[in-house]
Amino acid sequence: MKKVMIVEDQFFLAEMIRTRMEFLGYKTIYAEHGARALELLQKEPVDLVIMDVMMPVMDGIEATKRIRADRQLKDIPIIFLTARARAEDRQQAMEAGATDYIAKPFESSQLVSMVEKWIKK
Amino acid sequence: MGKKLQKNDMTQLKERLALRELEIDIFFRFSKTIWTTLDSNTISHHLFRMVSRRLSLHALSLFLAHGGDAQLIMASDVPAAPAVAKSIKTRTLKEYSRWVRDAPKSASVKLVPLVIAPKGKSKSTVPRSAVHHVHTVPLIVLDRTLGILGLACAGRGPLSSEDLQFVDIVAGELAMLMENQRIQNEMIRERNLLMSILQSMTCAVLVVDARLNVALSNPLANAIFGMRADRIMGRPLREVMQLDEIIAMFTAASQQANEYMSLDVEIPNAAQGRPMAARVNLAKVRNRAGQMVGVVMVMNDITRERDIERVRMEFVSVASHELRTPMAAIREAVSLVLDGVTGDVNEKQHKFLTMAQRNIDRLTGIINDLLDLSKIESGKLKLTRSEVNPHAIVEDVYSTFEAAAREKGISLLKSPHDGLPNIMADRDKMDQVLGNLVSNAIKFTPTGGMITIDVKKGPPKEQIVEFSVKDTGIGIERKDYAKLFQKFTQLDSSLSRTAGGTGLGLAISKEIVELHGGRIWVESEHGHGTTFRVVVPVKGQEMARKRYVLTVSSDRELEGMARDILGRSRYEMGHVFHGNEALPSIQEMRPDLILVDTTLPDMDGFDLCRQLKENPETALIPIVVLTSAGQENAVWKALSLGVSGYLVRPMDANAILSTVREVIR
Repeated sequence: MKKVMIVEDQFFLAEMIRTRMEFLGYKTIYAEHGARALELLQKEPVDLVIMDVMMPVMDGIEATKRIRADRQLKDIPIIFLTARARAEDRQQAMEAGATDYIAKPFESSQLVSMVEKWIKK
Repeated sequence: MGKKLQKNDMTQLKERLALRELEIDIFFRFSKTIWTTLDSNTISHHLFRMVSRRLSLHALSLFLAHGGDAQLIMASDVPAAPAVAKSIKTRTLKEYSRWVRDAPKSASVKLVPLVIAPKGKSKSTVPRSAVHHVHTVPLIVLDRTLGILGLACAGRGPLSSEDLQFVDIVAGELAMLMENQRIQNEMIRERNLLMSILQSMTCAVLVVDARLNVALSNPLANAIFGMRADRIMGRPLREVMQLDEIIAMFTAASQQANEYMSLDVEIPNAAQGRPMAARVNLAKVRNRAGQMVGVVMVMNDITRERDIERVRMEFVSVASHELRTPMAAIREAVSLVLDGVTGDVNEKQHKFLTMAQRNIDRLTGIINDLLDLSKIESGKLKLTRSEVNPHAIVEDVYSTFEAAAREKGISLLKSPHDGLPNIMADRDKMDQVLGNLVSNAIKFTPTGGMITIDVKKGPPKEQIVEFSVKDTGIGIERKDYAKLFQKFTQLDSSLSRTAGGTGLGLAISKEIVELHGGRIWVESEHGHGTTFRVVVPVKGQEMARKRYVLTVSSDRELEGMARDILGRSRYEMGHVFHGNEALPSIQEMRPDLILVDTTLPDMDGFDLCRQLKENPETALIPIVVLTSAGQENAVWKALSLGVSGYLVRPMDANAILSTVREVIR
């Protein structure tokens, strides 16, 4: 079973994404911020990360940079899920190493097709 | 006999010589007094004393006339003076006034002798023996009568011709003295008034003459520019202040053709090195002959307003981002239930949840509009251009709205692929523009209607593509065309309740299209559907096609000058001589700017402007009118028609260029 990590400080939103992913047949791992995500990834690699940007402790940009710098983790697809929808935010995310980018509030179908597009076959 | 006569002659001559000597002495002292004091009271007292002495007068009074009324201003300190004054006032003045009115410009009659013959029972306090004659002399300056000098002679006959000559000179001097005093007082009063107005103003005021020497400043200007009030008058601007941008603005204002100039500037080191945001308005000062004699600057401190504006922008941005996360949660919650993740959904539940979802999307749209608006207002709306095929944009929009149109029973059509060239555009933003047009069309088209999304090449000469969205909806009245693209405008507020939206969509679209170097306009007839057209250049603005400027004028010299200066600045130029050639040429060539001469051989230029502004196809093309001095009133009329700018003859090449750049920007 493919594993999706959800990194999101808003628990209720993470909970719903988790429900959606499990409905689609993925196993999920939850991290409440970037630092926690890195910690969990060391123990258990995943097939895709859904990453919020603005989070306490470590934000999504920093976490992504560190994932990309890690030889074991660098190829994991990361989908940015963010409330910052400006073009320059997108630019910043892409430069940090995001694979794709979706703005909140998002259409579920769009997130689903994005996950299906990037998750390691 | 002869000897005696000679002796008498000698005595007479001596007397006359003494009199002349006295007169010279009087005038000498009089002049000296004027040099040493400016106080008119002191001077007139001197004069009074000396004149009384010379003429052996009993009384001397000065009246000032205001209309038909006269007022005793001054009397010599002879006991009988007030009585004489009274008698002059009551008996002479009316007569005198009438006389002056009848022959006001006559220079030969200035002395009116009047004999007072007091009756025995008269209650007059004037001693019978003292007064024999009263003379009145008008004080005239430049045909204006200021007052009357009254002379009462005591114990002697009427004044001789020599005396009269003397009195005439004295009256002239006195009149001149009074006039000078009046002008001086008026100047002081005006100056004081001006100064108190300037001091109480809450904006900085600085006036320079035509050679940029300081002519006037108020305390606020002195403080901001670090100038000392007592050291700047008449000195060159660049010697009294260090702010190069302000000096440059004054120079520009004095040289350019426009009468007014307004811009916002940052002054890094205003008063006490404090940075300041200022709105500067400059205007030429002209004398009655129309010559420029200086430049006046009025400057307002807008630091606070600008800071508030910045905070507001940040707030809008933060608030909208903060709204997104909870909205994402609501939307996703609804979607999960709707998609059956939590179990079966019955028909009614499905209907309500769909409604909830649609309203969340509407809220998202509003937030996006507000964000776009705050970006536009802060000038931060930027394009991310890439090569994109126009058909792909049509395709994007078609697929987004296909379902919504079908749901409302509207057929949505798109143009077939036609091998159009790629354009340099921001695909997301062009999707937004076209999407907004289609979404509006769906709102305002009833069930059973039709919407067509089309894209085609522009006229062969131009490297443009034209998108259009055509509907069979309620249509738009011509008078509302311009309003459409304004912020927060929905033409019918009752519609906004059923159709939704912030009324920002078209304003944002216009901004996006213009950032692409394109134009958006509408063609419609009320009740017969609407077509929105969007034209964008094939290549990006950076490598923009040349801007096309059409001149409508029979003035060959002017046309040549415009062609020369604009051509050198890489504008493409077109020209027609007559007003009736203009319309077809404009429709064919779609210029970016039209220069319209107000006097055309076949029609009134203002009428042409009106026609262009009333025609939906040409209404959005900016117009600059070329006028002659004296047509300023007409210019206001033109500006109220929606003309973007004007130039007044004689105009120089730089003025043409700067105005064109300003308008076309």
